This record gives sequence, C-alpha cells and structure tokens, in this order.
Amino acid sequence: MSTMSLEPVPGRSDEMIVNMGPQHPATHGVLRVVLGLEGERITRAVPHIGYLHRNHEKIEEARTYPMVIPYTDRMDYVSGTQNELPFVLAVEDMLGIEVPDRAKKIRTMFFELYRLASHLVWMGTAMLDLGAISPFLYTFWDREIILGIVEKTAGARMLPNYYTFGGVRRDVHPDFFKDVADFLDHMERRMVDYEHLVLESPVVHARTIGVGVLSKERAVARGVSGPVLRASGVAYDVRKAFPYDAYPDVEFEIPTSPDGDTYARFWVRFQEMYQSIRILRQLVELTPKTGPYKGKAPARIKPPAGERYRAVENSRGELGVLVVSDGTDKPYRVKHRGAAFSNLQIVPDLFEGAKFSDAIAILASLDPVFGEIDR
Amino acid sequence: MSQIPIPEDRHFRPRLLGYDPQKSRPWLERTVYSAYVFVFWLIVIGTYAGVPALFGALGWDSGWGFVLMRTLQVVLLFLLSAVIALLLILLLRKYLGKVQERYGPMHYGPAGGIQTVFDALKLLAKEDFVPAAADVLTFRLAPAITFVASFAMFAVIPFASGWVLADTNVGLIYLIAVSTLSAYGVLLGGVSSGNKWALIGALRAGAQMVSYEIPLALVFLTVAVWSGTLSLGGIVDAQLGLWNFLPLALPFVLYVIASLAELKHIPFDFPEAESELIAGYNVEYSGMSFAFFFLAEFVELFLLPALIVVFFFGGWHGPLFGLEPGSLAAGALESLYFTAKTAVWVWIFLWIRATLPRYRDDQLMEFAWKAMIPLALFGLVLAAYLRLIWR
Amino acid sequence: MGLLGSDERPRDIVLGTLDDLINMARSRSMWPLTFGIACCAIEMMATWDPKIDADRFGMFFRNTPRQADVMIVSGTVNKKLAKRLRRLYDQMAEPKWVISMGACANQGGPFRQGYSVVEGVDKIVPVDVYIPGCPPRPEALLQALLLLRDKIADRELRYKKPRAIPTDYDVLAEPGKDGRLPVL
Repeated sequence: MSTMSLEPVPGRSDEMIVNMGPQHPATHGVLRVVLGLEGERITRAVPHIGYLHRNHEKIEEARTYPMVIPYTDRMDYVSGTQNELPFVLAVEDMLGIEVPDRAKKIRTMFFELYRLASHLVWMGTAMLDLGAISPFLYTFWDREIILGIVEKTAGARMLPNYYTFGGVRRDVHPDFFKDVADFLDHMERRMVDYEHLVLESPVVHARTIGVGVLSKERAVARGVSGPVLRASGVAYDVRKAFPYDAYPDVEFEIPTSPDGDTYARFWVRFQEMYQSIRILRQLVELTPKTGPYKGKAPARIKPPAGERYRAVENSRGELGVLVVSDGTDKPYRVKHRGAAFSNLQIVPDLFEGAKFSDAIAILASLDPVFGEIDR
Repeated sequence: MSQIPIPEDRHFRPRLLGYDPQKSRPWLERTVYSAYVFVFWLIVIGTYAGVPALFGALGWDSGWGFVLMRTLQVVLLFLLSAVIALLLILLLRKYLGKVQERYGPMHYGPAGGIQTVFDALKLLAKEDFVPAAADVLTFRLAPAITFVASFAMFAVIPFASGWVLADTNVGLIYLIAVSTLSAYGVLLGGVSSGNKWALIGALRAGAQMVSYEIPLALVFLTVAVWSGTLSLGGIVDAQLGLWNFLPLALPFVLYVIASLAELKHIPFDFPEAESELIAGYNVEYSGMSFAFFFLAEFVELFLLPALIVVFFFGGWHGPLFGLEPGSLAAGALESLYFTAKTAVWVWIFLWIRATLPRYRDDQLMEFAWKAMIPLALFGLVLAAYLRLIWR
Repeated sequence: MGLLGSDERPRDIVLGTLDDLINMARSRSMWPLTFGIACCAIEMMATWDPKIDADRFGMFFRNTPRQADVMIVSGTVNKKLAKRLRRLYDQMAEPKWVISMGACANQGGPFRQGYSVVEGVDKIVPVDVYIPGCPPRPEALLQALLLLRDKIADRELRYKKPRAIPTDYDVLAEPGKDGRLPVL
C-alpha cells in the first residue's frame, strides 16, 4: 500500500495496471490514481496527489497578515470566502478584535451563499461523472446568479478576498438583500427540479445505492469530516460543535444518514443545500440593514507571540488553520488543515473491490478540490 | 523592457463579436433546418426516382447500364449520409442547447448551419497518425469497417413504396448480419490502439453490443412472424390497416431499448463513457479516422430510428390525398411521411441522450440477459399466438 | 499552420484560397482539451455555462488529446505536473495551439516565489494567447478564444509560431541548482 507505483504481483496474471492520470475528464482536478484492474473490478488503488502543490504555507510565511487572506482564498477555490474565515477568526482571537453583530451576519450570509455555490458545482460535476450532461448547465446557471450577487458587493466573482480582521472590507451593495431574497425564491423552485433529476432518478439509484459504503468507525478513524462523515451517521458539524459568527443566532439542522453509501452522501449534500437556504432566509430578515460592517482593528496587524487553531465547516468538511505568530507582522507558520485532504484518505479503502464505474461515483460523492488537498 | 521587439501587426485587427450575441432568431433556425431536410428529401427523390427514370429514359436498364445505375444510386446515398451526419450533429448540439437553457452553435452560417461543415474540414486537415504501439493495419481498418457496416444498412430501407435499393426478400437477415459488423469495427479499433483505456472501452463495447444483439434479433423475428415476410417492403405493406406498435407493444419497447444500446447512446454509452474512459475506444484516433467513427455513429442515429419507423410505425404509410399510388408525386409524399416519422424518433433519442445518466455495465448486461431476452421470447410467442388467432 | 504543414502561405490562387478555407474551418471549430488544473478551471467551466456559452462558437470539449486542438492551461503548473503537461501537449495532433489562462500559467502568478511552481507554462509549451487575470472572467476567456480564432484565420499571423521548446522530460522535472527550472 505504501509503494509509490504498483508492481505486478506474480500470482495475479489477470490484473491490468492502469493509470487514471492527472488529466481525466472527471473534472475533479489533478488526481492520479494507479489502479490494478481485474476486468472491471479494482483490486488495488494508490492515489497520488501533489500535482497542484503551490507552497501556500511557505509563501504565507513571507506575507503580512492581510496579504495572507487572498492566498487562503485559492485553496478551496470553489468555495470562495469560506476559506478566509478560519484564518480571520484565528487572528481576531489572538488580537482580541470585536466583530460587530451586523458584520458577523454578513459574513455568515456570504459563507452560506458559497456553500450553495460549492454544492451546485458538486452536483453538476457529479452528474456529469454519472453520465447526465444537462444538470451541469442548470447548476452553473444558478451559480452564476450567486457569483453575480457576490460580485456586486465584493468586486470579484470566485475569489473575492472580502473578509478582513474585524468584519468585511466594504459594505454590502444596497441591492444585496433583495437580490438574495429573489435568488432564494428562484432556488427553491430549482431545488424541486434538482431533486427530481438527481435524487429521484432510478439510474442514479442504481448507480449509487449500496456503492462505496463507509462505516462509522472507519470514517472516524480516518479523520473524515463534512458531508461524508455525516452520511456515515456521525452528527458532527463545526457550526454546532464550535459555533462561530452568526450561527448561534440562526436555527438549522444537521442532516445525517445512517447508510454511509454514495447515495447517502448525495442526499446529505442536498439536505445541506436546503438548510443553507433556510439559514439565508433567516439572515435576510435578521441582519440590520444599517450599521458597522467592520470592527476596530489595529492598522498594523501584529498578533502577540503564540498560536491559535480555528476551524470552520467548509462545504467539504472541517477546514482549520493553525496560526503561529512570533510577534512580527508576518506569521511564523500558517498550517492549513484541508478538509478534502483528510477525506481523500478513504479512497484506497473504498476503491478496493469496487467496480471501476463505482469508483468514479465514489470520487464524485467525495467531492475533492485539489487546491485544498495539495495546498 | 525596450529590447523586446514588439511585432507590428497592422493587418491584425481582431474582430470580436460585432453583433448581439444573445439574440436567437427562431424563424431563421427553422428555415435553415428545414432547408437541410429539404435537401435531404431532394436527394432521396433523386436517388430512388430520378436516377432510375433517367436511366430508363436512356434505355440503359439492363446489364452494365443497370450496374452503373446502382453505383450512381450508392454514390448519391453516400452524399445523403453526409447530409444526414451534417444535419444530425448540428441538430444534436442545438437540441442539447435547447434542453440546457442555452443556444447551440449560432454564429457560423445562418443560425449555425455551416458549423458542421467547418468541423468536417478541420478533421480532414488534422494530422492523422498511428500510435507507435498500435497494430497499423487494423488501426486503419477499424473505422472503415464501422462506417461500412452502418452505411450498408441503407440498402434495404424503403423510403416509399418501391423506393428501395435492394428489394430482397431476406432484408431482415441482411440487417441482422450487417448491424453485427459494426461491433467488429469498434472492437478492432479499441484493441488495436495499443492503449489500455481503449482496450477496456473496446471490451465493454463488444460485450454490450453482442448482448443487445440477441433481443434485437428476437424482435426482428417477432416482426417477421407477425408480418409473415422477411422483406422490409413486405413488412411495411403488411401494416396497411394497423401499425405494428399496437399489437406488438412489448417488442416495440424492447426494440427501442436495444436500439439505444446498439447506438451506444446514453443511457448505454458505456463504451465511450465520456467522463470515465476518456472517449473509450476512440482514445487514440484523430483526424479523418475519428471522423469516420463519428460519421458512422450519426448515420446510425438516423438509421435505427428509420428502422423503428419501418417495423412499428407503418414506414411510409400516410394519407395520399388522391394521388396515384406508384407515381412520382405519391412517392415523394410517402418519403416525406417517412422522413417526418423518423425525425420524431430521432428527436426522442436525442431527448433521452440529453436527460438520463448512464447505467453501470454489469447492470446493463444484467438487464439484457435477465430481463430483455426472456421478455423478447415471451413477445415472440405472444405474437405468434396472436397471429394465429387474428389472421 | 499551413495546408500541408508548410511555413508560409502558398502564393498561387488555388492553393492559397484552399489554405485560407482550411484555416478558416480550423478556427471556427476549435475543440479544447479538458485540462483544468486549479481555480481557473472553474472559470473555464463557467465559460461553457448558459450565461456565456462558448459552444455558440462551435467549441466543445474533447477528453482525449488526440482529438483536441486547443489546450487551455488553466491553473498553476508545478514541476510534478510539468512533465505530464508536456506529454499531453506532445500527444495532441497537429495543428495545435495553447492558451495560457490566468496569472499562474502566464508567469507563475501569486505563487511565483514557490519552490515547486513553474514560472509560467511558456517554459514548457509554446503559448499562443495569454490571458491575464486571477482568475480571468469567463468573458476574458471567451475573448481569448475569439482572438485565437482570428489569429488562426488571419493570413499572416497564423504562420508566426511561438518559439519551439524541446522535449526533454527529465530536464523539465528536475530542479536546477538553485531550485529553479533551467532557462530554456
């Protein structure tokens, strides 16, 4: 299992060693899996990562604290501002910065909007992997609406660099709340369609039910988090366990499923989308329309020496940041705990004994994003 | 910075869009696609009525004249298959666009009509190489086999009464034989590519096509038993009062499913599963060889719905409005009915392609062997029984 | 790219017109290769979504490099990936073009100082169009595709090839003495 490449085993002459290379159309990024295939069944699987290793952590040691925030954006690039939050929270804790209530709610609204955007990308690409070509385009249209809303306020679509220490960088656009409310109405109608297309489709049932079952014990042992963990029956969500921002003020549930198969992971993500819509509806009502969007923060961010770990619930799981400061204005060490990186550890377990097409479905349900995995 | 020479591209002024990109003109689209269908119809009339009339008038009816006439008809059918491929590729992309809330090819040619011509020219001029690990002769031969197998089915399809190229009385057996050949082409193409992915794709394709040939052949047999003849013209004639899809409802459904599998269409497009196998058996083909595979697939996309129409929907039957049966005008009208019915079935196939995900291969095989073959046998027995008591 | 792989446009009328026609056809039916690496890949996927549909211009993705014309390098290329990227480029059938999308592919982007990042994909493959941005908007990618279309169809510009880069896989993956890639 720890060999970097697979050697043919003398006893098994039927086994074909195939390379599912860094370029493959299952659009999850640059993952390379070396598979031992016997016919259609996978006997061994060794994933290789590192094709997108961009030295985030080393580079961030040479940047001042506000300059680190755009780098964190580029980790889980599908989820935009969700990546900025753990770093911002950690530094706010170290410096003792107060975040006003309105800023917290605005941050949470963007957080949930990006969760919806990320799950829409997941749904489109998962259905593309399963063979349906149309849902990809419907979900990307909805994602364009979200990115348009974000762009009006933050200036950029995907990687907006919007959060900052003490709140957000600029006030929301005057149309923001109306835009979000309209979008939520649109989204609720679309979710009915998505449910018919994805969750109730007999082909999807045939492809995903019973496929890639991950038991609770194994999931916890491998450090899996996020929808994958919740689909195996463990009700752990960082938003409820270690609440941050405006999550104590809103009501929402954590969808869990006891099955642990691919269909359960699909279902859990769907339910998370519904919960996100619910949270956003509450926040559109609760957020004060005027008020401060940023708390008092020092002009030169120089946290006292020490370290701090903060985690948030990314679309993929628990995204955490450990910030080690030595008193200067550049961090001494920033360690990112990527959610998808830990989630990817179950790939060799789940692939063995599965058929090749099941492997594709399993990978689609794990939803890896390589910025986060390779950092 | 100043040492870098900046080229003077005086002639190059990029012409970006220049027109409103989001305006689609439905009347133009309908006109263009009707024009394609009209050209198709003209070629059909030319092939089946024009050429024999011309040769009859010249008196070259027998011997070498006959051979020449048939050759010319085949050449015209080749042109027809080119027009079909052009139209269907374009129609697929526009229809996918319509389902997916966007427009398909829009800018080249009126409403995108010339787009496929450009695709074809590009493929013609692309480098056509053979991978080093491939078996050269088979690699080059495989697309040709696939295309010839698909194209040869044109010989027995009746476009109107009497308008068939080879009016044999064993048309069904010819069809079974020829449609199996295309499985050969795919298998050879994948195996000879020297690439493990192509091998996997080819084996999947071979397994799938062979498994679905059996229910296909059983349904052919059912239709033959019901109609009492093996010739396609005879089958169409026997549907004069009652189209076959009503009494033979079960074989009809099975035939549609088996056709989708033969066509390697979603939900059975396992062999060329675009998101898994990186184009399956096609993976090492480029240029004109690839174009032949592409062409074969789209010609079959026309031919298999045409066969559905011939077997179950009355072929070219339709109200003649008092025209003399057997005349040119009647033939033209009947071929128009045939084209219209085939178009409906092509649309249904494209609709299925745009909507459904794909099944896993062992589910496909299970479905073919455990569900479709017993049902097809049952349908055969039922049809024989019904024929006995009905006729 | 000429009709028969030649390096300049044929002078006579027949072959010249044919050359123009074939290159016009090539420009209007460019098929990109699905090779998304990082964040720019999501914006590349967004260029094919219903808002800004690049399929209007006849471009749709082909998964295998043999059938693709354009390789859109969207994302940071690091040394581990450089070898594979070059291999994919070599597997593409002539005529082929490369679009370098985003700051990372142009010159390393925000990760330029990294020890494992290649400063620009034009150290590995010859690039025809560069798109600045991090990530570039889908409209920018569409503009680049249209620029490439016009470049291929233009009479003089299509023969100006970028400098050829030799294929030496071991050099590409090997760090130089100071940890940076050798200057090619």
